[in-house]
Amino acid sequence: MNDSLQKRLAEWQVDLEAPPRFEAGVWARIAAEESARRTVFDRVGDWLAAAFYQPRLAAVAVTLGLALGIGTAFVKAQDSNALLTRQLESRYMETINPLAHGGGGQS
Amino acid sequence: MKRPLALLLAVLVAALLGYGVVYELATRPAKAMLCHPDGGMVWLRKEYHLTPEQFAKVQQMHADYRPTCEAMCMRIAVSREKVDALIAAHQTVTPETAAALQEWALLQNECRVAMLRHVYAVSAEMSPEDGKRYVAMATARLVAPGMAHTSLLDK
Repeated sequence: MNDSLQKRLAEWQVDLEAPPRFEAGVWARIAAEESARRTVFDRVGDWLAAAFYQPRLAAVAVTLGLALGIGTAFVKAQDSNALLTRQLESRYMETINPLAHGGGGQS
Repeated sequence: MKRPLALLLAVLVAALLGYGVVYELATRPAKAMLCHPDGGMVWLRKEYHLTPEQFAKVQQMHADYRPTCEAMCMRIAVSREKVDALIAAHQTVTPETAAALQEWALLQNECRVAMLRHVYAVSAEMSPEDGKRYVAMATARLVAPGMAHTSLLDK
């Protein structure tokens, strides 16, 4: 009985064809489940990583960084120049104002 | 993951480089003036758009006025010391203290007049607009010399 069963099983051939794009469908379902578990941060990270691989976006990012640095420098330099100008103005006034040396009651 | 980090680093370097270069270039003239031994006069020339001829005249006027200014400064300092000493020595206003205070005030007034005379003379060498600006800047300190011109105007 066992021999007969084994013989039959050995002879049995399954002749099934997978439906078209079966494998792709399985992978798509796996990806969808994984995607559902991902957080917003994961997605943003993926998007950024993908974006950084594009040379054009990389160039834009570097240009924006440069522009930000230059813009900040202009604003900061205006403040610094105003301060330096006040110091220079004071220095000049000290050379013509005898009261500026502490004897005028402002020491 | 290395490439995004490298790019972030590149963005940071670009921003810092842009900042450093532009800030240095934009503040260099003022810093150079501040480091100059005669920075006040260099500033005056630039701020009030003096031509070489005007600047030469102003420099000469400045040189002529300087001994007067220094002498007055010394007299005021001596007078101030006298006032301080008298105030410290008494618990009431003595006739000497009152006289010393009056002398100190007269000296200050004399200095203001001399300075104002110099300021008007210098302003006469400038263009009318610059001269007006210069007089406004200089005279704002006549009353409170220790205070910045702009802070006085703001008030």
